[in-house]
Amino acid sequence: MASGKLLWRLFVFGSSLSATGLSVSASADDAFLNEMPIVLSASRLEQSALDAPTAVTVIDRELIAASGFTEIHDLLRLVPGFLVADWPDGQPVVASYGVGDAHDRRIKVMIDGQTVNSPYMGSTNWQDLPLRVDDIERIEVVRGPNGAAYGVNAFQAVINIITRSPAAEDGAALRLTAGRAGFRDHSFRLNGKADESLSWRLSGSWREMDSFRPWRNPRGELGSGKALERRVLNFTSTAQLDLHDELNLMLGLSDGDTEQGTPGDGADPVRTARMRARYLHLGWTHRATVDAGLSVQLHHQTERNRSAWMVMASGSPPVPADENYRVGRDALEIQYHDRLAADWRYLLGAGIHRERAHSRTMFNGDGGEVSGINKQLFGSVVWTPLPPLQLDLGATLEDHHYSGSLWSPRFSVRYQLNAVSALRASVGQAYRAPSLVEANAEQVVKVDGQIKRLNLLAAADMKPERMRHAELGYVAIHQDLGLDVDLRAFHRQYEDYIDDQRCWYPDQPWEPVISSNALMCPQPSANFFPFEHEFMSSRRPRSFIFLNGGRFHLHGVEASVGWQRPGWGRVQLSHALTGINARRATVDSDFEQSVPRNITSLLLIKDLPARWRVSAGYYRHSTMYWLNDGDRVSARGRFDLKLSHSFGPAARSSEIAFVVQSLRGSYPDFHEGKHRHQQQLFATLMLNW
Amino acid sequence: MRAAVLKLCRRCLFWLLLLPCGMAHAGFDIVVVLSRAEGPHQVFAQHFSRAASRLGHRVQVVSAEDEPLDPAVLRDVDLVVSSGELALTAVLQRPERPTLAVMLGQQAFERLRALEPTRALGAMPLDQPPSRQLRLFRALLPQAQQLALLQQSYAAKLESFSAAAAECGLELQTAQLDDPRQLVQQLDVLLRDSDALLVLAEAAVSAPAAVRSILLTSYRQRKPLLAFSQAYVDAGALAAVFTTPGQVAEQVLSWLAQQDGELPRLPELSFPPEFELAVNRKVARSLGLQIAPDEVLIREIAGGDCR
Repeated sequence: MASGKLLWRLFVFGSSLSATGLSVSASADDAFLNEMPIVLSASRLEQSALDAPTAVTVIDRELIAASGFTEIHDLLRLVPGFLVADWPDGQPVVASYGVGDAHDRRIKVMIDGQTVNSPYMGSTNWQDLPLRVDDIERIEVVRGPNGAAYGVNAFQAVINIITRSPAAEDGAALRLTAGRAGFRDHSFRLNGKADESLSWRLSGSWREMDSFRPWRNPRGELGSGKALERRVLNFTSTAQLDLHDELNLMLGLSDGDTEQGTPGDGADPVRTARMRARYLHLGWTHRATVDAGLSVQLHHQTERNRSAWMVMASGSPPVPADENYRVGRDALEIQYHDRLAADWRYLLGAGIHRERAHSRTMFNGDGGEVSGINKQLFGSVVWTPLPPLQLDLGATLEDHHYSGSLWSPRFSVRYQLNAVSALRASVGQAYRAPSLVEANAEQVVKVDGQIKRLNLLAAADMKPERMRHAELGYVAIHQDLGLDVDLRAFHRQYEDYIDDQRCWYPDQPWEPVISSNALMCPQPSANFFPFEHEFMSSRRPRSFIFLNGGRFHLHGVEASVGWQRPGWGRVQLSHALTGINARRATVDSDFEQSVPRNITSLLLIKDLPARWRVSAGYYRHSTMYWLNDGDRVSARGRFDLKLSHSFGPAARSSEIAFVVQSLRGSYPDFHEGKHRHQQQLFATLMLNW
Repeated sequence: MRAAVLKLCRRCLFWLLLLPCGMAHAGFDIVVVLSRAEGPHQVFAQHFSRAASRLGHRVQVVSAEDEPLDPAVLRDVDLVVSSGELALTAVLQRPERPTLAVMLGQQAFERLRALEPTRALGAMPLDQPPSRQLRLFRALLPQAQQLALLQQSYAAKLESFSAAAAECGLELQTAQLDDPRQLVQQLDVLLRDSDALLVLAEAAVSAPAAVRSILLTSYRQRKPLLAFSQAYVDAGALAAVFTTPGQVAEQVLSWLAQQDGELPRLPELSFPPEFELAVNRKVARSLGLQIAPDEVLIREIAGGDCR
C-alpha cells in the first residue's frame, strides 16, 4: 500500500516536471554550447572484457532473441560452465560448474544492480521475477565469486539483469505465443515518448505451461508434475530531473498458481500453490562529473506463498501440511565513485538491509517470525601505474545478523598484452552466510498441538561458508575479425559448506542402533510425538539438519569463443572442463559426482535471405548428480531450434517465429529417475507499433 | 606533452605575426555583445577583449541577457561582435552597424540573417567543415564505410555533407527528423545498416532528453556516435571535433589583423580553422573499438585527405 502511494507521488512529480516546464529542454542558445547530462556513465556502460577484474559473460539482446528462450533462467545456459535445471517440486535452479541442489542460494541475482534473491532460502525464484525476457537489455554474469564488489553471498557467481531503458524505446508491442501441451505466453509493452524528461514503460504478461507431466519410471513409480500459470506486471520509469540528477523507479508484480503433486499419491497430492511477489526499486543518481557520481538505491521486496493440503495416509487420519510463508527485504545502499588522479580511481559504498520471514511450519516457535539486519561497507581502488598494467583491490566488510563480521577481499592484476588482448589474474575470499531458513529452521507437521514430524532443523553456531579463489584468464577481442576469445583456469576451495544431513533421535524407540559418530538431532521439544512411519511408506521418519559439511576443491578450465559477421550471422561457443576433490566433504556421497566433467553450450545464428533467420542451440553436460532433492542425470545434449521471419517497416519490425525446445522430445531433468521435462513446441507472433 | 609544446609554439607564432598587422591602423571601436555574461560567451569575451586591447582596439563588453540592449552603446562603433544567438537577435533589433556573429551555429545565423537580408552581417560559426567531420569518422574507424547522419531540417548542410562524403568515398545514410517524437524509431532504422552515427548541432538532437535517447539507442545497437561538442562526448558520444571560445577569439583577431581600411570587411561565412578533439575512451573500450592515440587522430583529421 505504501509503495503504491509512493509510486503515485513520484508519477505526479514526474508529470509535473514535464508539464510545468521544469523539464530539461533545449535552451534558446546554440546547441554547440549546451551542457548535457552524462548518459553513458561507468555504471551504464558494459565493461570491456579487456578491463574486467574477473571473468564476465554478457548475454546481449541478439543472443536473447535468437535463443528462443521464454524463461529468464534458461538464458543462463549460454554462460560458460553454467547448468540449468527445473523440477516439479520447486523453482528452476542454476548452478555454476555443478555442486547444485534444489535452492540456488550461492549465486547472487540482481535486477539493475538490486539483489532479488529470496530472503527465505537465499535462492532465486526465477519464475516469479517481476519482468520477462522481452524487458531485458542484457545479462552480465560475473563467473565467479565477487564478494568484494557485491557483498556477502556473491559466492559462486553474480548475475545482473539489465533492463531496457524506457528512454531508448517507444511505441507499443504485443506478443502472442501458443504451443503444444497448453503452452501459452502472451505479453504487451507500452512506452511513453522516449525523448521526454520522464520516460516510462508498462509491460505485462500472462503465461501458462505444463513443465512436467507425471512420469512413471521403469520401476512403476509415478513422479510428480508441475503446471504453471503466472501474471507479471512491470512499470519502469526514468526521470531526468536536471543535467546531473536522474530518478529511476521499477515496480514489479508477479502473481499466479503452480499446480504440483503426484496423482493418486496421498502423501504428495495434487495441489495448488499460490505465489505472489512484489518488487519496488527506487534509485537516485547524481553524476557530478564524468568521473564522479553518487547513487542512492532503495529496494523493497515481498513474497507470499500459499500452499496447504491434507496428507491422506492409509489407515491414519488426515494430516494437515503446508508450505505457507511470507518474506520481505528492505535495502538501502549508497555509493560514491570518483577519480583521485589520472591513474587512480575508487569506489566507496555502504548498505543496510533487513530481511524477515514468517512461516508457522518452517519456524516453529516465536510465532513463526524470524528477521535480521545486515550492514555492509564496501570499496575498491583501481591503480594504473603503467598504461598496460592495472591493479584492482576491493573488499567488503559485512556485519551479518547471524554470522557476525565477514571480510571479503579480492585482488586482481590485469596486463594488456596489446590493443586486442589482455591477461588477468585474481585471488580473493568470499563468504556465504546462512539464509533465514538455514539459520532458523525447525520445520514441523503438527496434529492437535503435537509435533508429529520434524523435517528441517538448524544447527547451533553454524559458520558461514567460505571460499578462497584464484583464477588466471586471457581475453582477446578482434573487432575487425568479429572474433572474441575468453580462456580461464580457476581454482576454488570451499570450507564449511552448508548442507542438510540426516540426524538421529536415540531416544525414539524405533530408531535403530546407531554408531557413536552418528549425527544427533537437537533435543526436540517436549510435545514431539512423531509418527513411527513416513506418510504412505514404510520408511521410518527422518529429520535433516543444516550443518557445516567439510571442505572440497573445485577446479577447471574453460574457453568461450564468439564470432560474428554482419549479414551472415553469429556463433557463440563455450566449453568448460571441471573437476572436484570432495574426499574431505562429509555431507553427501554424491558430492564427488555433482560436478560434470564437461559442460558445453553452442548458439548458432544464421541470417537468411528475405528477412528470415534460423538459430540453433545445443546445451550439453556430462553425467552428474544434482544434490539433495536431485539425483543423477546422465550425459545428454539438448537441441533447440528457432526459425523467425521479420516483416513490416524497418522502424517497427514485427516477427513471426517457430521454436522447438528439445528437439528429441521430453528429457530427464534434475533427477532422471523421477522427472521428465516436457518438450516445448510453439509459435510466436510479435507485433510492434 | 609534445602536443602541448607544439600548441604553445603555434600560439606564439600567431601573436608575433599578428602584432605588426594590428599596429597598422589606429584600431577599431568594438562592442562585444554577449548572449550571457557567463560560461563560454564570457570566456570568449575575456580572450578577445584582452588580446584586442593589446592590439590597439577599443573594446567594450555588454550582455544582452537581462535587459534590452542600449542603442547608445552601439552608436558609432566600427564593429559589433555578437557572441551567441541571443546576442545577434538583440543586435538585429538595433540600428545597423557592421556585425560579426560568432559563437553560434551556421543554421541559427542563416535563419536570423534571412530576417535582415540587407544588413552588413558576417559570421564565424562554430560548425566544423563537413570534410573535417568525415575525416574524424575515417580516422576513428578506418574500415567503416557507412555513416548515418541524423539532422533536423537543414537541406544546405545535407548537400555539403553529401558532396564531402562522395569525395571521401563514403556512403552517407541520412534521415531527416521531421517529428522529434519519431526520434527512436528513425534512429533504429538509420543505425541498422550504418557503422556510426553523426549528429549535427540542432535543437532536436541536443535537448537533454533527446541526447539521452540518442545515446542509449545507439549504444544499444553498439554503434558509435560522433558529435559536435565536448559536452556530448562527456555524455557518451565516442568523439567530436569542436572549436573552443579561445580558438574563436583567435580566429576573430586573426581576421581583424587583416583589416586595414576604415571599416572592417565582413566575411560572409568563415569556418573555424582550429579545432579540438575529444574522444571518450571508456565508450570506445566498451564498444570494443581500438582507437588510435589523440595525436595520430589529430594528424589524420588535419591532414586533408579523407580517402
